[in-house]
Order: sequence, then C-alpha cells, then structure tokens
Amino acid sequence: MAQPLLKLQPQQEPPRPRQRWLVLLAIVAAFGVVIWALSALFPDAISGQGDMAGIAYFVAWGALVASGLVFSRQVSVGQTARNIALWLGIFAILAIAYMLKDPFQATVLRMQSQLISGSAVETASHEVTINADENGDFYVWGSVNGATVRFAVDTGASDIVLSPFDAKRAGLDTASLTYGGQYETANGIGHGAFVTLDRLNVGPIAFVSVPASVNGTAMRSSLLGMTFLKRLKSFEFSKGKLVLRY
Amino acid sequence: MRFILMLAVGLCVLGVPAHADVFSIFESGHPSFNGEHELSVTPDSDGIYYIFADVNGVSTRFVIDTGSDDVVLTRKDAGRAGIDVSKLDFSEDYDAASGTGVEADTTVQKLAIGPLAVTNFPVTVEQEGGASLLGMTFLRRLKSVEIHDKRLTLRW
Repeated sequence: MAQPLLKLQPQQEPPRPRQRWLVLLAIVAAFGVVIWALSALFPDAISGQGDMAGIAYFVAWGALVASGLVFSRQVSVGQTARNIALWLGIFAILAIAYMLKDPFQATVLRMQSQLISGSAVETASHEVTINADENGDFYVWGSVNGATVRFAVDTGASDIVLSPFDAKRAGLDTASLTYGGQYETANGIGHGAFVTLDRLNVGPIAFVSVPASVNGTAMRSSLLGMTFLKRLKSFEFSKGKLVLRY
Repeated sequence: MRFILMLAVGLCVLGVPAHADVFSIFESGHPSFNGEHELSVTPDSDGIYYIFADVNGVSTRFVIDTGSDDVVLTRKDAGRAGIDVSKLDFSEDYDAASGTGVEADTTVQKLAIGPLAVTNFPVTVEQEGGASLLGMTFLRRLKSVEIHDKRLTLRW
C-alpha cells in the first residue's frame, strides 16, 4: 500500500461550516444594508447600468475577501484585530489621497499637457502650434474657468461643446441647466444647454464671456467648434501640425 | 405666353423629382477653384464649412469636419452613391455628442471634388447620422487645410 505523500496536520480549529456560512451571510447582508442606506441618502449617485455593474463587481470582490476572512483556518482574535487596524490605516491613507485628488489631478494634467501631444505651444508672436496625436487627430489642452479641459478641434461643430464632466469641473451647475438646444450630430439629434464661459484659454489664447453649450449626455471629449475657431485670425493644418494665429 | 409658363411649370414638376438636389445651388459648399491645386468654400450661416463632393459620381454635401476620424456617409447619401446599404454590417460602435451609434465600413470607388480625387477610399456609413462628414482620413492627405478671412481653403 502506498503511503500518502503528505500527512495532513490535524486542524487546530476544526471548521464549523454552517456557522461560518452564517457569518458570511451576515457580512453580505450588512453590506447590502449599507449600500441600500447610501443609495437612499444619495439617490442620484447610482445612475445607469455602468454604476450597477460597478457595484456588482465590488460586491463580488467584497464577498471573496469576506469569505477568505470567514473560512480561513487559523484565525486568532488578536491577529484579526491587528489586520483590521492595518487595513483601516491603509483605507484612511487612500481616503486622504482621494480628498487631495483634485489638486493632484490638476498637477498631473498640467504635466501631461507639457509632455504629450495636444499641448498648445507658442511658436511665434500670436501663433500657437499643436501637434496631431498618434492617430493624426487634433486635440488640444485648454482651460475653462481655470479647469484643464481636453478639446477635440472640430470644424464640424458650430459651437464650443463641453461634456457634462468637463462642465462640472469648470464649476458649472449642470443639474440646473435646461437642455433646450437641439443640434444635429452623427447620431441624430443631440441636446445641449446654452451657457457663457467666463474664461476660455488655449495656450496663450484667452477669451472671456464665450458662448458655449453643455452637452446633455456624456462625451469622450469636449469640442472646440467654430465659435472658437472663427474668432481666430487663421487656422491651418498641414503635415500633422495645426497652427492657430490670433 | 401661357404656353411657355405651362411648359416651364411642367418641366419643373418633371425635373424636380429626378434631380431632387437642384435646390443645392442655393446651399453653401460649392467650391471655387483657385488654380489646379487649390479650392475654397465659404461658411454656412451656422459657421460650419460644407463642401459638395462627388461620391461615385453623385453630388453629395459634406461637412468639413476635423472632429471626425473618418469620411462618413449618411445611409441616404450612401444609398444615392450606389452602395447597397442593406448588405452592410452595422456593427462598429462610435461616439457622437448625442450618445453612441453603430456604423459600417465600406469603400467608395471614387470621391472627387473637381480635380481633387481619391479612388477606392474607405468610408463609414452611419445608421442614424444627419450629415455626411469629410473627416480626417481625407483631410490629412491634403497639403494643407486653412481657415482665414471667412474662407476655408484646401491645397493639395
């Protein structure tokens, strides 16, 4: 008779599966209550299928982590307490980092705009040059009311169009706008709200009180349309370089 | 006199359905050619530059659109250019300001603005677009695209 290769150690704490399942269920239920309570407190926070999918994803991860906690063989109270303290510490650091993310993000965006395509570089007096991106399209970093915004240079758009995301970052109250304006897009009729931007900058080009519209639905990028372009003295692109004179 | 009037009205009635785009002469986007390798167009009232181009020989009005990656045809314009739209595979997603839509890749035999012509050119046909778009795949091939003094000039 072959000997077993590995002799299993007697388990120090024999598993009590039913109880552990109950603990797991209790944790999941507690999470459910927390999510329910949060969604009751902030009814607008969950919108659309993407958010629901996100919640399902994190709940699945949470369940996995919780089951690890519940079903692991050797759990001493002290160890668990220490681990929980450790994780709370990590969480606190992440929370602080999250609170500081806006100034941090702004710095990162400013650094990016120096490094990657899409930066508006002053190449002569009253002349700005923008390099095309790797696909040959023209995007440019600008700022609206001081918030950094990435624009697609779009002769096909009659207006300057801000995505709801960028509009919020520029300090516009997107919830209180009326999306009464209609325009044609590649996908049928779009809805936008007319606004006036206090400040719009693209490199050294600065305009004040610029009419624009905020799009009703999310967009990949905001658009620098003809209301901006026709204020320039000239607009020319050739061989992957876009030159704006103003 | 009455006969001439009736004849004129009759010709219009007969002629309009056959050439539904006769009114296009009143629309912006007719290029003026300033030499062999240069043309220009003036803007529409909304500030946008349109241009008439022949797609497989059929006159089609495009928006000159640096914000579009591709040359895009509406279903209607694709149909007019002899593309069998019902056989296209509308499966690719794209983003537009009003949400996402689906589009299909195809090729046009010839896309021409006067002497400026490309052959076997890739285009996309959009399920629900309001306007055909002359996008960057075409514009990038030109020597330059310039807007100056309310005039858009293409050089090649």
